[in-house]
Amino acid sequence: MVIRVLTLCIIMLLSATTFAVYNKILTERVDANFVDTWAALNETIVAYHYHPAYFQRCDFALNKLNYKSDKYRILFFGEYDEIKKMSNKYPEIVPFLPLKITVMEEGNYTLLIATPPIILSSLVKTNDERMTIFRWQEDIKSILKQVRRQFQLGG
Amino acid sequence: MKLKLELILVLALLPLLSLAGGRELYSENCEKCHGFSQQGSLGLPLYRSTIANHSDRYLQRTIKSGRPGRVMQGFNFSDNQITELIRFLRAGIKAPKYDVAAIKGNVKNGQGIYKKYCQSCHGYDLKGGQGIGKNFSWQKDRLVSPPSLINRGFLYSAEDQMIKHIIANGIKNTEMVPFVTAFNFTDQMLNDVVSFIRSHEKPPSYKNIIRRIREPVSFIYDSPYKLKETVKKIRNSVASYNFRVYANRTLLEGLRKENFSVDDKKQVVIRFCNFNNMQNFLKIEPRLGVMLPCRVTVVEDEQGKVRVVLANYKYAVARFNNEQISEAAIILIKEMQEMVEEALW
Repeated sequence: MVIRVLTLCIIMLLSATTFAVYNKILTERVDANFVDTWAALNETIVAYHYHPAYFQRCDFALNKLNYKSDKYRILFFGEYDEIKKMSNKYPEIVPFLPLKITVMEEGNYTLLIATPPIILSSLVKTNDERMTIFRWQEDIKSILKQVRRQFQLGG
Repeated sequence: MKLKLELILVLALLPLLSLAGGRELYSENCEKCHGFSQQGSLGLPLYRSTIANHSDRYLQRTIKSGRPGRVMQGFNFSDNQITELIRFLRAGIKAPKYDVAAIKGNVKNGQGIYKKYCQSCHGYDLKGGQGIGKNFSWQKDRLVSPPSLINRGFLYSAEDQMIKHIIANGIKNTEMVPFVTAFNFTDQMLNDVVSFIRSHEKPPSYKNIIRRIREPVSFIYDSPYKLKETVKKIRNSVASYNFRVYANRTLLEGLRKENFSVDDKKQVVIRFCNFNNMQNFLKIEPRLGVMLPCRVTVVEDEQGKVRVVLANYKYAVARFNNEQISEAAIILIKEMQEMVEEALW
C-alpha cells in the first residue's frame, strides 16, 4: 500500500512536461517480420497476465489498392475483471477498452503502436483505479519493448 | 612501451566510445520513426548525405523543438546527449557552418519563383506534401514526403544560408534536385526564394504555444430506447452514412473463455469502417490503426438506463502531432456525432 501511494505521489509530482511525454503515441520498431512479431506479441501479452481477446484486420481493403503491404492488424486484450470493473463504473472510458496494440508491417520490419492509457487517469476517481491505469501504461510500454528486444541482435 | 600502446589503443577507441552513447540514444528514441539504419520511415530519412547539409545548430534546435504538427516531437535531452546523438548521426562527416544573418531578397519575386518551381512539391501554402516521412509499406505519391517549409520548428532551426544551400545543391537520394544546375537558378533567385520562405515565420512569442484540446475525451448520449432497439437504430444510421458495419461484439468478448455474466451482454460494441476514409487517413498517418476501427458503444447500466458512448477522435488524434490528421478528424467526429444524434432522435 505504501509503495502504491508513493508511486502515485511520484506520478502526481511529475508535472506537465512528464505528462506530455506520457501522452505521446507509444511506438517500437521490431527487427522481425510480421508473422514472428505477431506471435511474439501474443506470447508476451499472456506473460504479462493479460488475455488476448480478438484481433481486427485492416488489410482486406489495402492489398487491392496497390499498397506495398497489407499486413495491418489490431490486437485487443485485457484482464476480464479489470476491464469489467472500469467499464461499468466509467462509461466515458468504454470507447478505449479493451486495451489494444496495432501491428503493421514495414518492409523487413514491423512496427508496434499503442495509445497511452494514462490519458484515462484523469477520468477515474480513486487512487486504486489510477494505479490500475498507470500499470496498464507501464505494462504496454514493457510489452512493446520486450517484443522488440526478443529480436535484437544477440537478444 | 606497453603503457604507450595501451594509451594509443584507448585514444583510438575514444571516438567509437562517444558514438556508442549516441547510438544508444538513437536506438531508444529515434529508430522507431527514422529506421534502424536511418533510412526513414514514419520520419524522414537521416542519410549521412542529408545530415551533411545541416549545421550542428540546426540539428540541436530540431532535436529540442521538434516539428509542431508534423509528427517529430521535441526531445528533452541534455546538451551533452544532443552532442553525442549528432556525432552518431554524422558518423565522421564534417559539420557545415552557416552564417546566421538573414538573407535579404525580394519576397515578391521569391513568391513567383516558388510558385513556378517549388509549389508542386511543397504545396501552395508551403505546408509540404501529404503524409509523413518515407514509409516503405504504404502507397505514397512520392518517395519522401516533401517537408513543410513554414513549420515553426523548421524556421526556428534553419539558417537562411542552409535553406539557400539546399535549394542550390539539392539533397541526394531524394526528389529535391539541385536548382542551380537543374534550372539555372542565380544567386539572386536563391535569395528571393529564401526570403519568401522566411517571410512566413511567425513572431517568436507564437513558437511555444501548445494547442490544447478543451473538449471531452468521449461524448455520451442518453438513449430514449431500450438497449436492443438503440443498437438497431445505431447500426441503421451507421450504414446510411456509408460505413460498412461489422458484426456486434460485447465489450468483454474474448477476455474470458467461460463464466460470462448476463451483464456482459449489456455493453455492445458496434464497429464500422469507411474504407475510402481509412485509406486516406492511413496515408496521412500510418499509425492511425491505434484508433481503428470506428466504433460506437451502447451500454445499459444497473438501472436500465441506456447510453451511447463515442470517442472524441479530435482529442485522440492530438497525440499524433500531425496537423493534417487533426483536420481530417474534425470532419469525421462531426459526422459521427450527427450519425448518433440522428439515430437517437
